[in-house]
Amino acid sequence: MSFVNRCNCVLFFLCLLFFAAVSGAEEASSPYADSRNKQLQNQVDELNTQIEIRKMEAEALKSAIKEQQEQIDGLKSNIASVYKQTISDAGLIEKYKLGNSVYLQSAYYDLSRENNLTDDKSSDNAFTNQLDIKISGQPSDEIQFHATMSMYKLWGAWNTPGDVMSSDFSYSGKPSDAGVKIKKGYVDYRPEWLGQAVNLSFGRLPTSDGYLTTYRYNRPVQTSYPDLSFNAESDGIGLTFYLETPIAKSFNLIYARSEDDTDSSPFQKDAQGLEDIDFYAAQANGELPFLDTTLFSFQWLRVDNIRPTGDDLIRDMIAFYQLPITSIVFPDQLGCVDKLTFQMDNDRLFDLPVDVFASVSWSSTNTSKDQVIVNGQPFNPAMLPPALQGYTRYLYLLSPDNQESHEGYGVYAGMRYNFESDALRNPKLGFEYFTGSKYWVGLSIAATDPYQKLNTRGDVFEIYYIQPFVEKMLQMRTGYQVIQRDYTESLMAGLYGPATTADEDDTLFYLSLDFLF
Amino acid sequence: MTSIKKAAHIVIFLTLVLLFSTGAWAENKKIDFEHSVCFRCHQTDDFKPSDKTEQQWRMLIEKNGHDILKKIVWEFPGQKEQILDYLVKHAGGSGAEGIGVWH
Repeated sequence: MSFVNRCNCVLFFLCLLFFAAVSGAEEASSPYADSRNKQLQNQVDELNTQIEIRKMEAEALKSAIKEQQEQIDGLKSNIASVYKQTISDAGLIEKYKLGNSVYLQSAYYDLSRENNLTDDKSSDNAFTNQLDIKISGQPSDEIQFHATMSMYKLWGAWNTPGDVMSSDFSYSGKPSDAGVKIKKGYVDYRPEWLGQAVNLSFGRLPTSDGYLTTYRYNRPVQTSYPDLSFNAESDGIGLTFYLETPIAKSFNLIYARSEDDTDSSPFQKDAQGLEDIDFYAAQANGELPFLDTTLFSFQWLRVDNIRPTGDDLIRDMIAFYQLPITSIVFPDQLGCVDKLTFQMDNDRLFDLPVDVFASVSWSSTNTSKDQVIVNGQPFNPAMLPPALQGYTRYLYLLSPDNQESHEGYGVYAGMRYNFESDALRNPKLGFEYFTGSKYWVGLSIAATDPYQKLNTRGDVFEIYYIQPFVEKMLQMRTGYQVIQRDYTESLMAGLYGPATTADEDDTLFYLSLDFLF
Repeated sequence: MTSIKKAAHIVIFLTLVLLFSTGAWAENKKIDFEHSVCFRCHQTDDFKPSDKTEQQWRMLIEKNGHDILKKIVWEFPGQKEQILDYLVKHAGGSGAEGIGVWH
């Protein structure tokens, strides 16, 4: 190809390019293109707007989610608060026993007595109803109140407490009539201004029904007094000091009084009035951390100014039989009794299904040597008709003449096996042993078991079985006691009269239905 | 000494043997609770079993009420029953009475 042809071709190609560029420029600057651009621009703007809207919606959603999360958190917190309150209320209702609680026991007893010295044998049986209605409350952290109203009677019996010679110590602990007696009624005051480290108790105190009886009756503990020390109703006042030590947990100082039973003028010295009996107790309570936190208590008890008993009856007897007695003077007091008692117990010892307890007590009488003076001379029962001489047997403190003081001891131990079977409702099988010496003074005056076994001067064995029907509400108890008496018990749980040699075997079979609520 | 008295003494003796011979094992069992799942979150002085009644412990543990506050992740089967059993046995407010006794 020639040079000229090549130039023509290049020029032709450039012309094509020029026309194509001009044609494109014309097309871009046409009205259609403007419209298209605007349309696209609008679309872009709209999209931007939608993006902004979406952004705002996303922000709103975030805010709503945050708000809802806060509401959920608040709801959770409220539910937790309500649940905590429910838990608290459940505890309060259970703790305060708002209103009352009830213990009802219907029992059958089959008793037999065999005197090996005289070969006398006797037997009897009895049905009893015992009802305890409890009212308690804890209106503040500083104050709590407990009261127990009690009825204890033989089925169908209409004896009054006077008929059965109940003393104030056992006014509701001895079967009598269908009347309700106040067994306990006391207030505990634990002031905050003393850091709640001291407690004042006053009223009719919880000193009856026993502590270790919780095992064989399978009901809550009724008193903090050791069983071998004192089991009787009493009116008094007590101070408790709470201790923060690994072993000692609290310390009690208690004072109670028993007025002269012949005092017909409550607020005036009676002409024939005798001394009031004073009770002093000091008790340490704690736990033994090295022995599976076994609970223990150690108590010193003094029963002071013990007055003669039945002096009013003797005066009535003298008048009734017109005995040749011109003057009779009873001593104001016969002496005192001291008791030292140590008791320990453990539920589920070492997490085994076994509950155990053991207690030992020492008792000592200290007579004043004062005697009843009749016609200016020490009283001699021989001056009475033979039929009346027996009534004077229990005139003095653990002796026939108030001249000798004596020491005695008691040992009480037991174990209870818990069958861990839900199918059988967790029944229990227990065994107890007690021994008391010749001059043992039990002071188990208000015990509700027919033989009041802890007053025995001899040996006592008991085996029992507890079958719950509805756990902690309804149960059946059955058991068998064997009592081998070596000495007579004398009057008022060993307090009055001499301990004379005996050889008696007593047995007791019992079956009861107990309701607790 | 009568045979029944001998039997009683044997029972008491065996109880004492049981009491002392199982001491070490029992201590181990106690340590189990003190190092149990409860104390993954709680401090040892946060609570005592006697702070709550049996019914409260049953609501919290047996009926999973605690999960409302915080879910408990049990470490092994049977631990829940074990812990509940311990708490119930040592629960407060049993209805016991006595001079200066509070729950």
